Amino acid sequence: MKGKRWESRLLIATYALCFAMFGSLFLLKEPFDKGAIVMAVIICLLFTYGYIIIRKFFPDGDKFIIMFTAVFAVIGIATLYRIDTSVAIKQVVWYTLGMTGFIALVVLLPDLKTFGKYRYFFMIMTLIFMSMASLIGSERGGAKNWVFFGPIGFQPSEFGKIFFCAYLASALRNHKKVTDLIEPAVIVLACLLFMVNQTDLGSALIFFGIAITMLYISTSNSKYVIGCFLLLAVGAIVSYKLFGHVRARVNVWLDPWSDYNGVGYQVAQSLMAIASGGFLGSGIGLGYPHLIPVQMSDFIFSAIVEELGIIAGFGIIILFFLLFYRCMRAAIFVEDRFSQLLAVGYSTMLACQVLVIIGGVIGAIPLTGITLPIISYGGTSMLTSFFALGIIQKISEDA
Amino acid sequence: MAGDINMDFADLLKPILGVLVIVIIYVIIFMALRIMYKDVKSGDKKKALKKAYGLEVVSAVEGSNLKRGSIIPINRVITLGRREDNLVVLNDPYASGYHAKIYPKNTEYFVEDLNSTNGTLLNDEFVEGKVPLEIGDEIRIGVTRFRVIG
Repeated sequence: MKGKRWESRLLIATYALCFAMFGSLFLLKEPFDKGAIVMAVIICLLFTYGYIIIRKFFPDGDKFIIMFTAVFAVIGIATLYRIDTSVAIKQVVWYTLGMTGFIALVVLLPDLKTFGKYRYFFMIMTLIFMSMASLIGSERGGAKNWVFFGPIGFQPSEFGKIFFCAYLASALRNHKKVTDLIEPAVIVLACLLFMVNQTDLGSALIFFGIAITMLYISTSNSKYVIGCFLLLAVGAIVSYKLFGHVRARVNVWLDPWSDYNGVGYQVAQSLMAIASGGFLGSGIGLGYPHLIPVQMSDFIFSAIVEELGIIAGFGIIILFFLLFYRCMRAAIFVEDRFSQLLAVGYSTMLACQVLVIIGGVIGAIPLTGITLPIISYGGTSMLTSFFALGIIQKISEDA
Repeated sequence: MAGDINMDFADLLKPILGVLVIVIIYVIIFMALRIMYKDVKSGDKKKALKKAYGLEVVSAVEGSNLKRGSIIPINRVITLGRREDNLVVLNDPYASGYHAKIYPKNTEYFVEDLNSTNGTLLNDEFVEGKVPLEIGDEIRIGVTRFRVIG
């Protein structure tokens, strides 16, 4: 049982990370901040509980998914705590709900194979969620992608993503000839048009990424992929010509300083924060994360890098890569076609989200506002990430 | 004065903790990679369970390669059927080409019928989908019978 010993060492290292981060927050305030230690203990208890359940009752499943999410949650919640304590407390509640959902899925869900036949249910749910914000949405941060029912607000496209992957997995699992691809293509196109209509280009990019990856995995035909990229190029040029906000984003990407007081402000501030952090960062509590706009959700990566350094930023990217590897590994070993495509879809969804937002805040690609999975503040994003990971965890048991 | 000393100590500790966080992140990455490397190297994913179940052959067709009383350990997926590429080849006229499979999952063992023509019987009941196994259960495929032993 040598492997098990290393796993418990990994658990101990995560505790150490949790207490090192919250320990420095504890030292930050003039009378020491006891709340930070309470938070650290709560988070440690949460992920230990999840780990024990997975380890004891579902030993065939993957043990890394829960460990990596724990590391992300620790980094995310500690950063939020440093910026705004009340938001961090809310985030702990979301993390608890996410973990509960994750474990509930693993414990309660019957075999995933049986869900493959609900193709049209998934299709209808996808279309409902995707069109929801276009029909009754309200605007927030430049994109019309929020829906409010009384006091509860959420982003329907986040839930749409979950059903979108499920629909594509069940539609592509038995595909034999080209005509089988017409219906999924129409649905994908409709989703993309809804996203463009809601001016939510980040999500549009993610939907495109998911669709193209699943198409390639199910058909292994590179002609489709090339065709899709050509269509993407045409779409990108058309939307650049058509929409003012797309032009603005691209111009900011090319030169963030050209419109520093206007559209370029967000990216410019983010770049300055990252640069001022340097290699090792300014130290927790010694940076100026309040100067970064939307520092709690979209730009949380810049806030982390400013205080912990670009080296920690690389660490986070490597950890996301490892999480992606574990998720894809489940897809490689599983035999059932639907489960396989579903795992591919959900892991691509998370990976695309990471690439699009980290690429955006460091100025590598035009910025589109989406959340960094599990690290960013946001209930919808937390729940959907844990939902996707719960399904992948379930799939990994069969692998 | 005591408070000042405390604050000095805290100021000293802050940058150290910052670097410590970075070090721990990389330690976590290193450990995760180390476990994954072992997992890739060992190849076979399913590790032997502590209390492995087995199948005891209770009766088989005359002249088949299965002998009465022989034991088949269930330490991975065991496929049963008439075709040669099954793990357990049944020389039974009532068995289908790929008849059933028996496998461990998490802490349990399951038997699953692979849409065989004549069905698989578990304690004289037809198996539909996958059914968990317990010690003492009797599995019947055609005229071949197995008993689950612990």
